[in-house]
Amino acid sequence: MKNTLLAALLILALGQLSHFGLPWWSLAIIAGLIAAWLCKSAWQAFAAGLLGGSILWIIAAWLLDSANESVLSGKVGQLFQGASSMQLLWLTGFMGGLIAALGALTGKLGKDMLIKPSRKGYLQEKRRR
Amino acid sequence: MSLHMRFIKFIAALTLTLGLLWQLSQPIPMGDKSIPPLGSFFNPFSGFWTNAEPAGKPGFKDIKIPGLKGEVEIVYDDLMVPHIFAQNLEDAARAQGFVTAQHRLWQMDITARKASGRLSEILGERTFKLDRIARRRGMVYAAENDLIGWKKSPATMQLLEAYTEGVNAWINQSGPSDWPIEFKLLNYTPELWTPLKAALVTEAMAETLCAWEDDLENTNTYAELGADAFNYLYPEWNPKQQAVVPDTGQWLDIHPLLPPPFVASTTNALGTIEGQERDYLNDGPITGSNNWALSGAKTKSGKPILCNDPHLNLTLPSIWYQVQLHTPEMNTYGVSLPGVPGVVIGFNENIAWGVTNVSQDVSDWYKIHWTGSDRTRYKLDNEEKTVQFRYEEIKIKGKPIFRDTVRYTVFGPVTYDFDPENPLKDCALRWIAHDVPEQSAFDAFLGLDKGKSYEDYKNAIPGFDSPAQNFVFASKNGDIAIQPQGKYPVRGQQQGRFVQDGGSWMNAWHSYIPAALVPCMKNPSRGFVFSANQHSTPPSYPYYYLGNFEDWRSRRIYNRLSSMTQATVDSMKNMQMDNFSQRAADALPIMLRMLDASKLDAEGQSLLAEFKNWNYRYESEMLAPTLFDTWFDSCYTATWDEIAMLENQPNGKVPTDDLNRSKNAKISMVYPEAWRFIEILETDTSNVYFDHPTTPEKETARNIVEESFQKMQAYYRQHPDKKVAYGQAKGFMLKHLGLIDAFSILDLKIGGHRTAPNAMSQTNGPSWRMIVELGDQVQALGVFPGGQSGNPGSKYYDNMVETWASGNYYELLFLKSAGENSPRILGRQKLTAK
Repeated sequence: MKNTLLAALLILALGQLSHFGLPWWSLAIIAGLIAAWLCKSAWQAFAAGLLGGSILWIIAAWLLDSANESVLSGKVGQLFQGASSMQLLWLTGFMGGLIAALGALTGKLGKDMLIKPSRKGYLQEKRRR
Repeated sequence: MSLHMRFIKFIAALTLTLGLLWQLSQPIPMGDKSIPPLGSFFNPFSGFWTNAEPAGKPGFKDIKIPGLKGEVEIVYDDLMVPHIFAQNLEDAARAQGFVTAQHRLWQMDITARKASGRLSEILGERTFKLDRIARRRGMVYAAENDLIGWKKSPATMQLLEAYTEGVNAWINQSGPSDWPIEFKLLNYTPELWTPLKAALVTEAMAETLCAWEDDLENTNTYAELGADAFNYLYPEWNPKQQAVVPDTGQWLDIHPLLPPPFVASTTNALGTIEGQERDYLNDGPITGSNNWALSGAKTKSGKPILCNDPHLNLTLPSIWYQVQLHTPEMNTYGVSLPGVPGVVIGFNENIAWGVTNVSQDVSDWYKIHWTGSDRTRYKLDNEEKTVQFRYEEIKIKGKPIFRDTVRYTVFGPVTYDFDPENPLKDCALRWIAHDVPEQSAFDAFLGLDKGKSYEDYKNAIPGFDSPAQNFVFASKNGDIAIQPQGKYPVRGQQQGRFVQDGGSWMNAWHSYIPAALVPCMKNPSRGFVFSANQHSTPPSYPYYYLGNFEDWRSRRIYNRLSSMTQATVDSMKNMQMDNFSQRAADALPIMLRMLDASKLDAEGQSLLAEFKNWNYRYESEMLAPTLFDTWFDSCYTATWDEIAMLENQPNGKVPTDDLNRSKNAKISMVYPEAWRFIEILETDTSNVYFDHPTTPEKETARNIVEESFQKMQAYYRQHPDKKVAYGQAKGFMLKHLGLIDAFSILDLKIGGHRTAPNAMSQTNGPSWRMIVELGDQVQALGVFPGGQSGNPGSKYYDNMVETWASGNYYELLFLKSAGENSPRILGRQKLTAK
């Protein structure tokens, strides 16, 4: 659980790198690397990605939208079958979540394929040593 | 778990992820348009969300841009107008390019793309026809020629290059998060600006303002009706008209050598030419403008006042961008065209100026005589000439490149020979805007920007050749002037009215009206000068010219200015917002006189009652103008049914008088102008055209008026929902340049009519209203229907619309120095050399 939250938090933090010129799909790779490093199971990886990615995208969008008083999202919503600003925010969050979740899942399963997973997670193993 | 299993799981997850990423990176087709790739569009770090500008007070960052010679300070006011303070002209131009790009980059891109036939690169096949016609009309050829001419003035060229580099400085330091939302919606990236694109922007203006002609329609009309009827129905001069420059005896001793009159037999020899030329071209001749200047004798303050309201396609982003440019040699404020340096319509401490379209016809078609079916050689007098090929490559998104070959003759490009159905398929286009200009168009505007006196004005504008403009002028020291400035061919009588024989060099344009004989007027005793796209001169002017001239606004403006005394800025506002239609004032009394009210039923009486107290004003909340337009249009179309029959239209429909021509005719003809129609209605009531050829009775004007009243009555009985106040009935709108409804304003409830000084048409109207009172302190007001920013996510996108729609203005903040304080200043930004 702790690892999942930590992974989610890191995805949220590092996902903002795309602010500095990285393409949007870099979120999937970032989530994949973090999940491979921290997550103990595929489910955990998926959950961490979903959580981190969706919160990242929805908050980033919400900050811009509220400063803008939803002027633009009201207009863009009309292009998406009359979606409201709120619906656009959810859609954004859902997309960010899905991109990160699938990225994280792939990262975790990729690591599992290369390195046989231990019963315990990385942190526990480290502590034991 | 076996390695095998883990491998399968990984591959499954990877496939799913890549599938999702791929899906999110693909545009989603929707009809002939598409939704942008969702991943990049929704990404809150560079997608559309980043275009959501903070609605609060904006902040301004100091920026380093390459190429600056000194430091530039930009002061932004509460309308987001940049006031640029530079130490030299080049820096001012560079900064202007930078700020314009920051606010209007997509507008610049799409304008240049449209002009150069490059829309399909981003929009796919649906704009292919438009692109092809733009290329084939020689738009890029014209822009290339512009550059050849502009390079003759190296100083101006340097400014254009500085402006261009300023635009590119913004592009280079921007990323996807800064790019206008339209790039994201249409899924393409900004390109660097070039001087050629600036030339394309000016050619786009020329295409709007001076590409209109009626050659084919007049040829057919002449051939079908014969000389007598043609001359009767289509006189070129309205005797009620007030020309821009009246005859004061200045042309008495001028007898230029003119080409022989264009002989009617030549027209007949061409005969009727079937088909429609203009399926691809939009708009009619509905663009127009007003400007005037009053001398101090007419104003309350004793200082001259100058006004201008150019009527253009009303779009969002607005066609104009306000800017103040301050350097040691000038301090000018006004509107600029995004993509080109300088101020086009504006003022400085000493003078003010404005423009309206001259509307002369400077676009002719010549029938080419091919000597072979490959159309590479043609006959010119006793010679055989070879065409020059120009190759055009049209890139089409999702399709292979289309390569087109355009044949250029001595007259110009053969535009339509790709289309065997086109009536002008064997004709070459001679258009003034194709020519290498004498000097840069910017020279004229930069000369005015810097100008201090009447002499500076007279020196600045003579090089301006197209699109010809009525340059109105006023100066602080009391001078007022007007000059319909342009490059005009010396024509024989009627030359250019019809398709001409391209087999004879005699028919070509051989010389141009010399600068000294271009009409002009300074300080007339009547105390005012004005223009509203009417004739440049009365028929006594020694040169023949033709065009698409306006007949209503000019008369109204003339009448009001003639009787005006003690004019103030407020009376000028009142005139710019004047919704009085001279057309209605001329036509309605005649129509009412002819209508036998005793024959009307109660419903008819109630409609008639609406007209009784109507003051001929097209006000938003009035019902009378709605009804009048329907009645008048009905009268007009009932009269000209003979022409519709000759046109052999599939639907037999007569157009209304604002277009004067119909769509889908087998033989395109031209319909009489409204002023002539009203004149005939009044003076020649038994004219044969009032008779319906399809009925045994012999109808007169009276029958037409009654019949069309009944038609109007029946129409509103069937469509009671259409019987609404004018502003609602008309459906005025400000359309987004990319026709995105969500970025448009589609329900403007305002007044105005194209026959009234406040010349509103559905999508066309006063694109900038400016009033300048010169004096020790310049007092200037202005407003345009939009905002400074081109970003639909900015509050400066449409913040001026309400003020504009309600007939109000903003005081224009004209700063003397960068340090000047004003509560209206939002912030400051320094540009320094990189």
